[in-house]
Amino acid sequence: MLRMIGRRVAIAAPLLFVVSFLVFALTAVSPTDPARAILGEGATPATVAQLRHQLGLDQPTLARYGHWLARLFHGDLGQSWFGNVPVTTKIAQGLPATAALVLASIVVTAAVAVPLGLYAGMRPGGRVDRIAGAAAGLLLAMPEFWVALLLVLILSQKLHLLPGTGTTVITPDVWRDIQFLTVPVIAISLPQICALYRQTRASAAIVARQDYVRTARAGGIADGELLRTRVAKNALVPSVTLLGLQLGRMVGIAAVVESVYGMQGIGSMAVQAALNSDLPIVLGIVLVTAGVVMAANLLADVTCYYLAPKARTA
Amino acid sequence: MIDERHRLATIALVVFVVIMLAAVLSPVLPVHNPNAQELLERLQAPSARYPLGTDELGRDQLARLLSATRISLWAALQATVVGVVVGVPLGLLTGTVGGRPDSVISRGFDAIQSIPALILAIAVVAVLGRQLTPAMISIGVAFSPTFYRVSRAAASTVAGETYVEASRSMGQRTIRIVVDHVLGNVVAALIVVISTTFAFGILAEAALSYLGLGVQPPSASLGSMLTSAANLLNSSPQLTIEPGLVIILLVLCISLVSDAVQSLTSAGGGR
Amino acid sequence: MNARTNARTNARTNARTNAAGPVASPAAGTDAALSVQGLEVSLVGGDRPVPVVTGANLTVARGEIVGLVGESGSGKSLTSLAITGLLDPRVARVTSGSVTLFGRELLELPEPAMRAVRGKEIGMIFQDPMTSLDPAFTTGYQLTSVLRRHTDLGRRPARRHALELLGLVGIADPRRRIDQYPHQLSGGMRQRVMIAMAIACEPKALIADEPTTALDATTQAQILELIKTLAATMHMSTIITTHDLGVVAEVCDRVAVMYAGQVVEWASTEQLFHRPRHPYTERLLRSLPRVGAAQHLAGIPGQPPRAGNFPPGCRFAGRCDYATVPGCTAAVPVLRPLEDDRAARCVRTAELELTGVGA
Repeated sequence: MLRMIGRRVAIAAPLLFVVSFLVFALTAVSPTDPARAILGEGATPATVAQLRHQLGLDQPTLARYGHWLARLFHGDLGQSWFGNVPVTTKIAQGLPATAALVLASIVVTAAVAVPLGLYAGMRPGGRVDRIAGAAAGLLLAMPEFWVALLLVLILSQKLHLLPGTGTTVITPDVWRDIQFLTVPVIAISLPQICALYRQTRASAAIVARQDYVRTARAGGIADGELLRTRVAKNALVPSVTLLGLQLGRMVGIAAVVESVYGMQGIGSMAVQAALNSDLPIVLGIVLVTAGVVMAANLLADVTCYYLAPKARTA
Repeated sequence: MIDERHRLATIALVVFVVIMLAAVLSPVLPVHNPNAQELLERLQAPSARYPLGTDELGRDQLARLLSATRISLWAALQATVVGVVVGVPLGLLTGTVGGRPDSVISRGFDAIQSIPALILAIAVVAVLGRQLTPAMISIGVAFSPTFYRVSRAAASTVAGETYVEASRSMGQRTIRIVVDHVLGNVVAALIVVISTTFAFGILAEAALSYLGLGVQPPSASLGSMLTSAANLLNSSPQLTIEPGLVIILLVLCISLVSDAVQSLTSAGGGR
Repeated sequence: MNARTNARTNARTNARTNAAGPVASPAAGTDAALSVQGLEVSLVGGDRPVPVVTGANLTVARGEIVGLVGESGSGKSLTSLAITGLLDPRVARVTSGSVTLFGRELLELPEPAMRAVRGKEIGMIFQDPMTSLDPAFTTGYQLTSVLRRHTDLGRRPARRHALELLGLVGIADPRRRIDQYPHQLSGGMRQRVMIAMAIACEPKALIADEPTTALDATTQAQILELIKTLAATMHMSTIITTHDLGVVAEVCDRVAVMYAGQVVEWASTEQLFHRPRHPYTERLLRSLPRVGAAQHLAGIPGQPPRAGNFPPGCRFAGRCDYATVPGCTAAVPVLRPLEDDRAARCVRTAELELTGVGA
């Protein structure tokens, strides 16, 4: 099994490399001059030229790429063009909020969609199936940030049930954190729950029809236990894969939802940086999120390895 | 004539076409000028004169929605076209040829796919500037891996068939053969990807414009309408709800039609 | 809601008086461990239920092996599924009849009670060992879950028991196999595992639905031998459904021949082969390839009538050499008991001299 993980990591590493190349390409292509951006409008051409030389911007592209990569290997993602703060520091500041948001959303999504999907798959055409299927179709069409806005409207402003927009997310007060995260998590999770539900249900419906489920029934195993053990383990491979992908999507969606709620996560940080044309921050976040996505997919792969013995090659 | 099950999808198709036509033809339709400000009539509820009310600058919501929808649809179209143009030819190529180009190019698309679409869009906008078109190009690029995969799969299936050998022995170029045979197979699968991308394009444009990274004033899209509306959430919620409903309606219609097409092509129509 | 509740009102009365008629059974009850009387199964899912099995009758004594023979579409699989209550309610359900195990009416049982019967009092094995075992769980897990479902064995004792069972069904090296997944076993071994699961709790009856159809000839013989041995040593009333008369000849004590949803002949294996009493049986026997004699395989021209298209009279009449009009086409013949514990569903059975095979 370790070998399998090793193999997957070996495949992922060059991918990260390619991503870093894409990121660097974006930097090189950008019409914005970093030196001018840092120094501001009033800088004299001489100062700009001096800074450009200091930053190594006047070197040939390939050399720049080499230096950039070297710095990358040392964990240096550069400096923000606003305030000379290391990119890594800023990202570390925003990471907890986004991590909390995304992890909570993934957990909620799985916790709701998987049991519902498995159940509906075992009883296709039943009441749960029909209601959930219709709801899923509708909810999938809703833009998350719009739902987020509406939820703020209804739950915070009209009903005063939950706190509305705010800034800090991770505080020692867990209960307050949960309250604050509830609405954004719901907003992010709703469409994902629908997609995961559909996938799980389709998978479960196929599995429930299989001969081996009939054999288990012939042994006297009841439907409830069938669902929790046999159907689940056989049906969940595509769902786990989807969850891995969804984690990646949620990181992107978090950018918008964080902005709605004024949360200081890396998503809203990226948006702010984009509005300010602060390239190092934005591109640093691109790298970090790509890494997170790869890690999530790796985790999903490993889980699938456990779920599906038949697919394990030698 | 139309199947029971597909009645809903047909209705959806009709609704979508109607909205699209209304949006596209909005300049010549008898509605208010979407940019005409009547500050005395600001923030009005729906009435006979203004069927959907007015916004904070006294502009007719209905007219604004129509014009904004046109821009949103155009944006989604851009994203989809970019996705097709970037992903399909390369997919057909690597599916047919395989080998080194396949490994390299597939790696490239894998890398693209490991960046969340919205993050990629934010990055490209940061680099190329805050305009709608670059934003939608980046969305298109973010979706190109899917187009790539589908085209590549279809091409490699066909390339392995024996009639390719037969045709090749008769002197036809491989690419030509593949294009002739594959396009038919691939179109059905592509329809699904196209509709998904288009729907996501609408959603993504809305998100990006909401954030200020897409459409820039004075143009307005469904997303940017929501930016200003969000500030008036408590007092005039209809300004937030209306654009959202349009988005939902569009995406829902596309999904319904796409599902129906999928079941039609897989059920019996097939290839 | 329950098809079984429907059956309850019909069971006792229909068993005696329905169109399918009474069956020659070895003394109404005492030797008959498993008894199926007048079983009717209908396909659901359309506007109205379509009867597909309309007269299944057989009895099995302790330790006896009864073969249920028929071509595909004859209803034999549906009959075997109906006995264990495993019909997919969206596809088919029992509409009348009776299935008793040692006098206990199974069709009346509510589902929880039936679940307790399945695996414990009746074991079932299925046709395709490739698809009938769960690919995500080890053989040990699948075996022990049946064991622990019906007994209160702990994990270790259940595993020990499972190892014994694997040995009992002839699997070499049980310690290795018990932790393997089905895809690591051959077809024959998988079938043995299924048999082990079916007999794990020492059931009183065993239903085998085409247990050897998906296996190669050598394995077939081994599995049949295994079933035969187990039925004898464990005194299980066994029903084997098959389309292969060779299987019948090899292991079955008695045979029920099914055609178009009805049992058309009921006899001991020897009686059936030597002197069939139904034209369909005769044709079946004639189509058996015979070593030595040069002949062309005689197929039976035509097709059996499908559910929903049953003719008003005898369902074999259209393909029968001996059919007469209107004697055979007016009404469905009754399964009439004959001498020597036999029965045949043919109005002309008394006058016909049908030829069998063998000495």
